[in-house]
Amino acid sequence: MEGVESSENIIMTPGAQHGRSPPPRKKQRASAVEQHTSRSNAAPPSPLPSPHPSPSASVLWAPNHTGASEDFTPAPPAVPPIQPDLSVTTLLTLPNLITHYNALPVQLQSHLLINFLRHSPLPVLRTLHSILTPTLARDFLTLLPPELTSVILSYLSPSALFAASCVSRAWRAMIDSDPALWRSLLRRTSTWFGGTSEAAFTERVYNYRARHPLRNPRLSRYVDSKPTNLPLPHPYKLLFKSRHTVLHRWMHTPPKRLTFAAHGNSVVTCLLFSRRRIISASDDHSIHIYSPFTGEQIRVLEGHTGGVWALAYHDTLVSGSTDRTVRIWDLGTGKNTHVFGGHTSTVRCLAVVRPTWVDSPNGGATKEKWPKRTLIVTGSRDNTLRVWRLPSKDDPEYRCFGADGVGGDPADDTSENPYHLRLLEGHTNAVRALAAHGRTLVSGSYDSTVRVWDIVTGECKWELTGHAAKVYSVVLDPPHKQVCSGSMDGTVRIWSTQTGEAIHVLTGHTSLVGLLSLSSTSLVSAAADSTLRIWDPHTGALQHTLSAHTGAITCFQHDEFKVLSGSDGTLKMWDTRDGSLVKDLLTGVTGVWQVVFDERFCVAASNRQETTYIEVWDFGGDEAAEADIEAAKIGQDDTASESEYDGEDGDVDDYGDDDRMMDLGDAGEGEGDDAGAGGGAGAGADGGADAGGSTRVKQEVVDDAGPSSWLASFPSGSSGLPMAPAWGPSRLHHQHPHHPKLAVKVEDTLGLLGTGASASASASMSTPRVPFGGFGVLAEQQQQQAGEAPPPLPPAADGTPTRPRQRSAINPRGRWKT
Amino acid sequence: MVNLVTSDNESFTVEKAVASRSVLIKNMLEDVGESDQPIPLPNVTASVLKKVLEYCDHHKNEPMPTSEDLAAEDTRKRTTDIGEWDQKFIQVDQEMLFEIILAANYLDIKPLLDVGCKTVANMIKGKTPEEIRKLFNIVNDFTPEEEAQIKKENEWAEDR
Repeated sequence: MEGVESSENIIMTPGAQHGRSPPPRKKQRASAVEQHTSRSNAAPPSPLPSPHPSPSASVLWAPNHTGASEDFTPAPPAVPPIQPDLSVTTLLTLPNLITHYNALPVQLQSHLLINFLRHSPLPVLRTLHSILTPTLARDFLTLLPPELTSVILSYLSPSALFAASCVSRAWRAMIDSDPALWRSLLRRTSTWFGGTSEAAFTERVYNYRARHPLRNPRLSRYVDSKPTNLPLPHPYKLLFKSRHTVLHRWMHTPPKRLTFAAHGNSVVTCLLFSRRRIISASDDHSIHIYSPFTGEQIRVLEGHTGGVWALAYHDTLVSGSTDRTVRIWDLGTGKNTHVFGGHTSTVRCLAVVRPTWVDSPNGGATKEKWPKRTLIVTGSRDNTLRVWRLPSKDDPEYRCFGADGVGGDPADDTSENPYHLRLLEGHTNAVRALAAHGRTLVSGSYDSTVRVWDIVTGECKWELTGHAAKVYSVVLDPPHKQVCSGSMDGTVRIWSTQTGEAIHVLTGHTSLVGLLSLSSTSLVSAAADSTLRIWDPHTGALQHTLSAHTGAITCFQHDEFKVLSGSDGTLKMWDTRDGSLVKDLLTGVTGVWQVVFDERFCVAASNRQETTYIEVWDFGGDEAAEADIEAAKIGQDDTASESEYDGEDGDVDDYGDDDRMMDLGDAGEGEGDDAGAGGGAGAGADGGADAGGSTRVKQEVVDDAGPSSWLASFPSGSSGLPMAPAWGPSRLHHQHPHHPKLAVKVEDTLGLLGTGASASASASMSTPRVPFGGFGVLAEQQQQQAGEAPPPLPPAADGTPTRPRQRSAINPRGRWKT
Repeated sequence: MVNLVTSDNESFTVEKAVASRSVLIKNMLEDVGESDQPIPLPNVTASVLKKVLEYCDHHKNEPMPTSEDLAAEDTRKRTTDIGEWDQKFIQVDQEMLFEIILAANYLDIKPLLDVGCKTVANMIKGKTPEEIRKLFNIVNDFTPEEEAQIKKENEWAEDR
């Protein structure tokens, strides 16, 4: 009936006489008719049949039109009728009728037709309707101005947008290329993080496309087809897709779970998840590599003569140990290629610092890339930090004195070592945590201070004082030129790395704040008081307190959606945005030592029945989901960069560890392709990257082996209050009879740590042999280079979708369309 | 009273309160002051203006949307709910709907523009691509390969 109504509208077009005030909404047809017949500009007397034709006429007229109404040409054979047949007569006069009709003014044409229609049976009307509807149809999205199209699209759900983008090339181009649309969707679904995250992601996508104009790995892998020519979607669409896919999986999909024993009954001190490999370091002196798909042990890295307490990955793996050495490993072969000596006590924290574009230290708007080569920074219980050059693949191997247990003391080494660059002295107690970005290095120490260093010159720019007790964790916030520190005094402090001022003091925790993690919208702190707290990193305001654990928090990781935290007995998942508890991933364990996640996997190391287990949850779903998430990987860069804060330096060894991946078999499957995606590739992928969790970043390096009060308090699980001097060796012993070394050595440990003095090799080796290593080291630098995720679409020539449309199509009059 | 003249030279005389639902006309009136001069609306035909004025008349006593309302648009949850009267009002053929949207945009009548845009959105909602093509008389110009690719790409959104 649409067609009919519309005709009516035209007929009712008001003249001046009834234009005043509200025009009548609906009129009786009769009145409409009357109106027109009385118009002054009414048509000349019509030659056509009267407006009220006789019923018989209409009956005759109608059948003729059912079925093939337009078909008026085939005139019946011209058999001269004796009694003129009405049908034939009418048909014969049709050309004439049409000529007359064409000469009529529009209003009268409408009037005429209406009257015909009124006398037409339903089949005629139906036929008419089927012709009229498409005629009056409008391809709204294509014909309306873009700003209006954008408004219309903004009312659609993602699934409706999906259907709409399948309609035609023009529709797809409009939908996929509309940044406002996707930004608004991100905002309305609380998945717009703000800060630099979206801009950095966009930049990486464009960089990637610029560098890989012809690369189209996704398509060839998942769709058996020739390259297509579709324009690429705006990065915001990829971002929306990635964030929602990941969020949905984690919150609503039951994961597959794999459990396997690892490291006997030893403490897992560090856990990294990178490029589909699980890398675990242990107090048992070894580093293991496992497949997250099968639990198969891919490699065992042996060489350290003490527990491994710090770990970072950047193309090569770097580890620090109670044996006072720093070791570098080729993951492809499992070979220990370099051994650096120099520290006189346990290497407690370390980070790999990659060249990154940063503001020029001389001020001004210029950007410079620092450091010039990739560095390793290590922090030790000997109160110092050391800066080393990270050997590249072709650099000669190096082994310090005593690297293999003979031939001298590793601590005497550095003068010979071409990779050793600098010794940073100043702290008066053990260096417990560090974080670095560009040329800025910050270190947190048991001397209660945080120091800000220039890695390049070795100068200590600021000594940040204020904490009343040992500093256990530091995280850098490069975009805001800030550093956050957590201390045994229960506070978290935020400082300016530019002016050295204290900006905020975050109070609330009632005991040791051992772990910190920062993403673009939230700073999360975990404490021995069994709670985690989510803060606004810009205002310092407390947003949520996560309290359901019953013991000190031993490990956690977070991103914008979720916090995963381990404590005695459970591994919990929380919603970052509202602070609610989502679920327990693990219950009934003795303790959770480490947890790490990326966009698909969650990996945790825990202890139960005196055995260490690694647990893998695969949130990837079925095979289709796999392909899907692969395609969404670009979003992983996103999260990664959010943690790493550098989207720009993808040109530093991005791509290109395909060979390494080959070595690792299925672990790397498909990832060669992914390497370097997302432009900033390198940037994105490392750090949180694989971890998909923004977050991790910061944490890096922070781990504790120490016989901190916290550690001791942890096994007790009861009060969660670590400060009590109550836990002495005996108590520990009691708690962990299965860990004889621990019990024996604890006293030593406490002594050593208390003074922070350098220890003899043997002493220091035994030192941190405490279970519940506390904060895992999550030296996160790992996974460099990966820019996973090439964009799911084949890049078009210039990557800019065009949007063909009639810009200001005011009044395109009705056209018949095919 | 205000005198409006359409592109096809029809003249409408309406209350100021009605005409002022259009921010364009409202601003013109403020600029010109009281005057008997007819206001030309060269982008609107009589049939469309009649319809638009019908809307303006029905809503003449409602408060105008404030700038805060407009600013909040972006973050607010988008609903395509349309009032009962508006829904009836907007039940027109696509051609007319198209013209109303353009006119509402030109005349700057935000609420009417919203009704129009929501109506189009509702027409798209819940339909398969083929149904949408049919509804708007659009030709599918994708190659089969492209269709497969797009489908693959968009699987994630299916139940959201």
